[in-house]
Amino acid sequence: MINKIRSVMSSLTKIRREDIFLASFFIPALVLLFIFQLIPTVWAIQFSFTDMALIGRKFLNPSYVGLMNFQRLAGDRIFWKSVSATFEYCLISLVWRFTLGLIFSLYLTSKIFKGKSVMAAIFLFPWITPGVLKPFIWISVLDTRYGTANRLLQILGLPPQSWVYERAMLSAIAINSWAGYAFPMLVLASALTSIPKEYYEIAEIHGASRWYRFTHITLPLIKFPLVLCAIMIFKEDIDDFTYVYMLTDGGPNYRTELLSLYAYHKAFVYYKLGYGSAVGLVIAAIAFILGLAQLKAAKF
Amino acid sequence: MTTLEKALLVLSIILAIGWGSTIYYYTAIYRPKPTIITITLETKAGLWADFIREMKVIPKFEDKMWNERGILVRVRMITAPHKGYADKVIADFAAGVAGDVVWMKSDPLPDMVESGWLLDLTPYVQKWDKWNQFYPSMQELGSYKEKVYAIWVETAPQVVYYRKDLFEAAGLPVPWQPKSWDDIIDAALAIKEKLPDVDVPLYAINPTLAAIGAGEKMYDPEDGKFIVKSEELLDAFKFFYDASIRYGVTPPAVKLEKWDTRKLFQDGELAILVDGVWCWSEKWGPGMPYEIENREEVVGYAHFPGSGKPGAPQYASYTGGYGYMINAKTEHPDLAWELLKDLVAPEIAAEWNYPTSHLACRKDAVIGKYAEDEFLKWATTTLEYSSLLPRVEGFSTWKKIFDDVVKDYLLTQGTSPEDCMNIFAEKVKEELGADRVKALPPYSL
Amino acid sequence: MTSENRGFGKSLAEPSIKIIGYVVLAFMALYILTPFIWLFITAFNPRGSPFLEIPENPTLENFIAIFTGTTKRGAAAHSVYMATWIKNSLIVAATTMFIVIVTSAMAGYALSRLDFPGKNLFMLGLLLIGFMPSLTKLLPLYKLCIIFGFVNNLCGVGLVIASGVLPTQIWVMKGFFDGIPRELEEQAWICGCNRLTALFRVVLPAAGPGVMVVALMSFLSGWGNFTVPLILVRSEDLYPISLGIATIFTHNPGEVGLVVDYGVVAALSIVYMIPSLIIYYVTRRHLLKIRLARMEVR
Repeated sequence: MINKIRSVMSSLTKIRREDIFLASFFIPALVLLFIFQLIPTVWAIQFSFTDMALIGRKFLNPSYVGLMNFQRLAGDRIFWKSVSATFEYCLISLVWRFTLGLIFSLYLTSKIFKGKSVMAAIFLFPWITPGVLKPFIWISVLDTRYGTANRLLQILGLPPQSWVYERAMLSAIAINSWAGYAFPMLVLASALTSIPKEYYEIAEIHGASRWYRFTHITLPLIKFPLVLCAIMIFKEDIDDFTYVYMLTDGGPNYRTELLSLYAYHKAFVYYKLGYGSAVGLVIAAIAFILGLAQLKAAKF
Repeated sequence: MTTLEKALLVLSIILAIGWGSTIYYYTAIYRPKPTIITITLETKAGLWADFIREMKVIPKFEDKMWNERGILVRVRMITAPHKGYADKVIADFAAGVAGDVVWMKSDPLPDMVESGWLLDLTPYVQKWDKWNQFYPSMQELGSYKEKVYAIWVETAPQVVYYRKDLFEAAGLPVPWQPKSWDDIIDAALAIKEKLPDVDVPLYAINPTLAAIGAGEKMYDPEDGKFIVKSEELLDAFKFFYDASIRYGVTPPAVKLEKWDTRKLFQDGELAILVDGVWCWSEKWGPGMPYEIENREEVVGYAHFPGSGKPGAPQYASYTGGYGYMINAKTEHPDLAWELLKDLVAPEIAAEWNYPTSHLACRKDAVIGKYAEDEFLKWATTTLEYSSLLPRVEGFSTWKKIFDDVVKDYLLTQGTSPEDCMNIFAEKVKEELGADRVKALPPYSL
Repeated sequence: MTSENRGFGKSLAEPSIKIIGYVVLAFMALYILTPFIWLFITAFNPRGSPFLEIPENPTLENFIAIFTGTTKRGAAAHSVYMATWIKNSLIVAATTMFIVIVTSAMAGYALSRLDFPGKNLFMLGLLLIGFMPSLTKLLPLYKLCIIFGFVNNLCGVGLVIASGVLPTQIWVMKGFFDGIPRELEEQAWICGCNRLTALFRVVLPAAGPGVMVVALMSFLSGWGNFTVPLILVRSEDLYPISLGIATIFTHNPGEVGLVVDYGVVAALSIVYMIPSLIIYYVTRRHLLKIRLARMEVR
């Protein structure tokens, strides 16, 4: 214990003027983040301990109810349904986004396929489209009677599917993966190209098989960017409910009611701001804990 | 980096700084000398805001204030996109930045009054000679607890549309006016038998409308409780059950998969549709997305009947409205009221309601083309029996749960009407509290 | 895009695998591009429909309508505004880009060169600082922006959007700075530059690719963001395109009182995508140099 204090003290005395100058570089970013991210977060957390409503009598005088919102959550059937829907959505999306990202990054970094710039342009097209358009163009595709997808299926002689209703979760995941594979693809491709050729050549000289090269060179080296990317993706998926909102608004009998959508419904449709903030806090906690777990697993 | 990229980078940084500082200065720092009174008008972006500009309401108002009263007024328009407009207005009020005069729908009025957001207009209205031009139901729609808070411009009840061509092909009488729900189901069954190509003979899944048609009161003002179980409510559930599950004249997929009912009606795949009066112009009118040629010959319209059981109303409809309210925190209530009066003027209302096929809320707005339109003349008669939905806090939750139960249980799982009603009662009790719900005999909670 | 052998390619050069690879590629391209078919076809359709319908006589009149203010059949917006919307989106995106580049470059450099106890925790905290879903923070954010005077202020919009994307961009910039060896700076110091001059003369140009990548990502955020302008912008002539599209476009059959000219909407959407494509084209070479974490060698 004393040694720890000693080491901290000694490192403090070693602070030079230059270091302070450097540390001041953090200030603009920290100020922005503090004001526009941290403060609203804390404020919203505070809401979750009240019974505040967006409208009505409870808007004028909300009162602190301590943990009551969370107790209600524990007994809320829809909440638990929402939790399972969210896990289903986030996990499968994560897998899909990474798989697609990996496949496409392999195409982009391989030697044998030509036309890389065209490929890259096509692969990145969904990423470049502005967010407002993404749900709209897919709705036109997935409509049961007149949508492009079912029309194509009919031309091929296959039965039309009920994308918006029976396969709602699948459709939402498909759209999300379509929109979101670009980031893992870029990270993976960058990571793959940054591994020096020499490692592989040396390993090959030493008689290592392709599989050995993959597991002992490629995987360990790209582990960290991969995990960080996974954390970012998970956080994105757990927060964003645009696709389920546009497609099914919670789906047949809450099958696609993601936690983020549930929080929105509670806060802005039922006007129960306190309860909605409590759900938001749960989402944040889940994302946080899972993020830490992923890092631990990768032995960061 | 290539020179091009460097140059672009430098250029964009310079532009960003220059642009940014100029705009920041003009919007955040620069304040004109406060000799002019500014009031803000909040409305929907696009069609609505453009209409106000076309009608030149604001310039005429500003001139009038200067000439008649020597007051220099500037009216600023705030807009929000049509999708989620009501939520935005509520968020604005909650944050305290809503406009002085606000265009809004009627549904959240009770809740907004309870939040203390709206100005009490009763003193103004009592001194207004035009107030009795407004239909009594409209006056009541804008009131809450005996005080007036909103003046409406448009209202739009629900009616039954049917395809005359399909009816004639199926041997059904035209013109058609059903007297009970059995009439509707019979007509739909006839269509289903004789014209099997028509995918959707009937679409009438409007839970609130059915509740009214059954004679359901929904809320008892005497003890302040919502009714969640009753004979009438069961009738409403049964109507949907019959239509969707028992006779199969309304495939559940229509609602669940959000088929475009207007397009289906346009294509002749839907024979009987319950929808708002505005569809006449805005969906099937000339030049509109779902245009139907020879609309007068092809599209028939009728009143939505009550269930047909004793005690149920003859016809049923409900209507909300869209109109203007005044912010309780406004600094210039008198000026806001003057602007509001201009915005709801008869000529403006008639000019707005005619092309959009809404109904006017005041008798003296029945002028010009609006007065001559056959459909609008007929539609106005619906106002005679049209009811108002209960104007109490929590009703919007009751309504939403009703919609959800029909969608998630009856249509999705084919749950029986009795079970649906029990589920509905449970959910409302959970959301609103056991002390705010009750059941009518012979049912109990 | 580098095409060096990564150890997978050598034995995969057999023709059959190549063909399979191309077939798979074709299917993937279908999956990726199908939604855009509707967009591109409807934009040239004078009578646009919400569903795929091949126009009989394709025209350019939708595009012309955007810029000249002549829409037909009372489309729910005067298209005079559409050109203004494009300008507004540019302002927001440029502001976001500028703020993000400057702040993330500074923070990224400091994070790369400075070492302090708890650094890892700090970096992690950066990542997770936005862990509350954005809609839950909506009302507090709204009140905060009112205090700062950001309502109806496009630069304010850019600032708020910037704060949202900062964490990831700081990580990206740090990665790029890590890739610039300290020796480069130290050489500059030896040659007599002080720290600041060394920064500008040596480090920044070397970090050019990083700035390019961050520029692209922050531009895309500012250009496409919808929720922040929704709360903050209140005059139609200040709407960015994302709000503009929401104003004139609804696909929900239950919507009241709205006339939608789908052709114009599709045309506007295409115009909406063009600047993103331009910036992508300029920065594309640097996209493969993203380094998220220092990779350790065993």
